[in-house]
Amino acid sequence: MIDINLKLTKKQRVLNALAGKDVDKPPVSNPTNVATVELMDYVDAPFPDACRDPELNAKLALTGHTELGFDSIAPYFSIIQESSALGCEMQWEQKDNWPTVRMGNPIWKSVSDIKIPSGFLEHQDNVAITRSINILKEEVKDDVAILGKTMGPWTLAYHVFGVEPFLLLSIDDPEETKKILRKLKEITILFGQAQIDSGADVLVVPDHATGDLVSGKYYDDFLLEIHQELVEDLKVPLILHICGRTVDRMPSIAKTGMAAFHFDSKNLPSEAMEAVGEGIRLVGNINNPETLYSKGPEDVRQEVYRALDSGVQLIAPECAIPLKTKIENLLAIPDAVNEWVSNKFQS
Amino acid sequence: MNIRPVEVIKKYGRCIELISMDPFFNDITIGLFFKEPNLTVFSYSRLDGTSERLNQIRDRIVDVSGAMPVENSPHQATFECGMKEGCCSAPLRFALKEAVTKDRDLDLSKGIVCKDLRSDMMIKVNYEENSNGNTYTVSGDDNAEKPIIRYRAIANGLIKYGGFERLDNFSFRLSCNQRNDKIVNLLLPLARNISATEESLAAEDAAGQMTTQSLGFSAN
Repeated sequence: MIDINLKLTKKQRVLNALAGKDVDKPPVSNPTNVATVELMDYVDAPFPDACRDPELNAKLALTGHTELGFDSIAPYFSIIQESSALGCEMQWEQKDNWPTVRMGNPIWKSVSDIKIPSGFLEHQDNVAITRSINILKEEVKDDVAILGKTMGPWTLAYHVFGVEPFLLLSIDDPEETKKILRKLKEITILFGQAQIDSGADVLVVPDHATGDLVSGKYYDDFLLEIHQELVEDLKVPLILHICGRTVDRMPSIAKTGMAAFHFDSKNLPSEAMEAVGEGIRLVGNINNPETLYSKGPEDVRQEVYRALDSGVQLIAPECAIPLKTKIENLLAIPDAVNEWVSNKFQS
Repeated sequence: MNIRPVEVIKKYGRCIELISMDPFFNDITIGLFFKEPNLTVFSYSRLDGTSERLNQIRDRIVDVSGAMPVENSPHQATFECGMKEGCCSAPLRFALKEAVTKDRDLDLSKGIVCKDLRSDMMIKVNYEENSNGNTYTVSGDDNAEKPIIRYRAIANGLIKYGGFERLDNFSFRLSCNQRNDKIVNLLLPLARNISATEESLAAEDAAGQMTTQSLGFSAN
C-alpha cells in the first residue's frame, strides 16, 4: 500500500516494496542494466572495460542513482561474468554491444564435466562485480538499494553446454538434466553469497527458461523446486528474471518464495498481476525496443501509468536496456512515477 | 564534472539521434539534440579535442544537409525555416551519420544525380520554382524497361526519409517550402533502395539490444 506520509530512503522503499510492506511511492528499481553509451562517456567507463574493472563498473553503475534518479543500483550489466570465470569462450565486443558467451563452443558435455575452477570467486570478471559492490556500498551506505545478480542454473547450462545440446538433453534425459541443474545451482549460490558478503541488499536471479524455448511445464518439472531452494540458501530478497512471454508459468513462479518477478512487456501488467495473485511482487515492465529505444517520454509515461494502474509494485525497464537508449526516456520513468503518485494521492 | 544529463536536456532539448561510436575520434558517442530553433552536436566525453571534433561534425552537417551554422556557437546549426515544430528534422538521422562516420564530398556540381541500383539508369532530381513552390521532381535517362515505376519508387523513398510533402507521384517539396538541394542529394542514394536502407536501419537499431534473440536464447 502507498502511504505518502512515510519518509523512506531509496533502499527502504525498494526493500519495503519487495517485502509487500507500505511505501511512500512505488520504487523505480532496475534488476538489470540501465547504463547507456552516453553515460559511459559521462563517467569515462566504456564497455567492455566497465564490465571487467571494478572501479569503472562502480562509476558507471552509480549513474543509475545519481543521474537517472532510480532507487537502486545494478552493477552487473550483462549475464556473462560467472561463465567467463568458468572458462567459457567469450566475445567481449565493444562499447556499443553486449559481451556474449560463444555458446557454439561449449566447455562441458555432461554432468561429470562440471567443476568449479579453483579461484572462481577471484577471477577478474567475478571480482569486477564483488569489488564494485564494495565500492558502491561505501559510496551510498544504506541510502540506495544495491542489486547484485547471480545467474540461475538454466542460464548457466545454456552457456556451458550450449543452448541446443542442453535443450535436447532435457528431452532425451530429464534425470541427467536435473542433476546438471543441481550442480550448476552451486555456482548460483557461490557467486550470489559472495555478492551478499560484499554488500548486496538484493539478488537478481536471471534464469532464462523463456517462453520462446521452453514451456510452463518445463518450469515446473525442472526449475520450481530449485528456485525454492535458492530462497532458502540466499538470505536476501531474490528477484527472478525471465524474459519473454511467461504468463503461463507465473502461477508457479509465485510459489517460489522469491520476493519479486521481473517480467517482460510481452505480458500485459494486468494479466501478470492476475496470474501471480498475492504470491509474489512484480517488477517491470516498460518495453525496451519500441518504447524506451524508439519512442519519447510521453510514451514512457503512459507505460509507467499502465503498470502502476495495474498494481505493479516496482517499476523498471523490462530487461537490460538497449545501450543506445536516450537518457530523456530513462529520466521519464521516475518522473512518471512521481506524477502518478501526485495525481492519485495528493490531489 | 561534466554537464549533467538532466541539464543537457534542459539546455539543448531532446536527443533526436545518437551515434554510439565516432570512428574518427576515440569512439566517443555523439548526440544530435534539438531545441527550436537550434540543433546541437553534443558529447559527454571530456577527452581533449572533443570540442574541436564536435565543431568539425557541425560543419559537416552544414555541408551535407544545407543547414546554417549558428554564429558564435561552434556546435550549433539551424535551417532557414527556423525548424518550427521540428520542420526539416526528419532527415537529420542520415545527416548525422554521414557527418560522423563518413569522410567524403557530396558533389553537387553535376546536379542531384545518382546511378540507379535496379537498372542501368542514371536518376536525377530536378529543381524548379513553379506554382507549387520550390518543387523537386524525380526523373532519369529512361534507360530501363519501366522507368516510371523506378521514378515513383525513388520519389516515395525521398518523401519517406526526408519528411517531404508529396505533390504528385514524382514530385515533392520541403514542408517549409525552402530550396535545399543538399538534403535531397544526401537522401537520393538511400531512396533508390528502400529495402536495403530499411535493413541497414534495423541492423543499427538491433545493435546493443539485449533480447532473447541477441542472447541466443530464442528459436528464431
